[in-house]
Amino acid sequence: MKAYFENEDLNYAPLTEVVVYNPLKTRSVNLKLVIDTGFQGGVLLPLQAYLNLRLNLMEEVEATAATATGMEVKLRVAKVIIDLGGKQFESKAYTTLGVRRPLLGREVLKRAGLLYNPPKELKFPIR
Amino acid sequence: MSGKRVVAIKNFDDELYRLIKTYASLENRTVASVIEEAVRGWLISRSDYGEVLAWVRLEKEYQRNLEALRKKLSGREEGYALVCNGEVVGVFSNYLDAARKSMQIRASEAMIVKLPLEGKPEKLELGMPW
Repeated sequence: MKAYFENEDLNYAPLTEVVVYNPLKTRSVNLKLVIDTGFQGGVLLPLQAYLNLRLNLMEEVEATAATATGMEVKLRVAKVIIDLGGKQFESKAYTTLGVRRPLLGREVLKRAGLLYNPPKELKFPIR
Repeated sequence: MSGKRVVAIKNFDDELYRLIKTYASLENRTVASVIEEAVRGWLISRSDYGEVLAWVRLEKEYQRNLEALRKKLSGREEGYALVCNGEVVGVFSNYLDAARKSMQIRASEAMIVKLPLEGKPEKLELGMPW
């Protein structure tokens, strides 16, 4: 599994490479996901990736989500299988209009133990 | 091809409407066909037109399927309901069997929902606008 930071100008976007399969494992997409600790769910996919996986043929009841700016959006939802560093597990994929960068949310981070772990020595103390 | 409906538009520019009507008459067309042509041209000029079109079509089918799910199940069933083309195809004991059946049918949208239905839809935090 690759997890790394990209682009100093973006203050190092934390990325990880995963393979997302549909539940039947008949289709897959390789994605570089932005690790987003503000996203509670599994993975947020652009609509095209969601359709490529044929997740439109196995949707659950839609979910609603609140953004940090208080906006409420409708999310399409389907089960997926995520391959993270060779380990595969079931999760949920979400999509909505206008998703440009796929996100990896806290549901997957919790399973993978990818938790925020600050260094012992900080540049300035935070108490 | 989509269906037709009556649309009333408030505060439409009067002169613009007269022009549309005149052109429609000159070209032996209906006002609706002129407006449809103009709106189609505007839609195609949008950069995200393909995505929005796919979304709108999915959403229309989803609403039809959701209605079928609510109307045609008694609420006592258990398992995984497969709903597509506005019909409950069946209730499966196994999620993957429902998914396989859905792939065979190849509708434009299908739902596989665990029964009994949960009362409230999922609500979650999305963080920053993506």
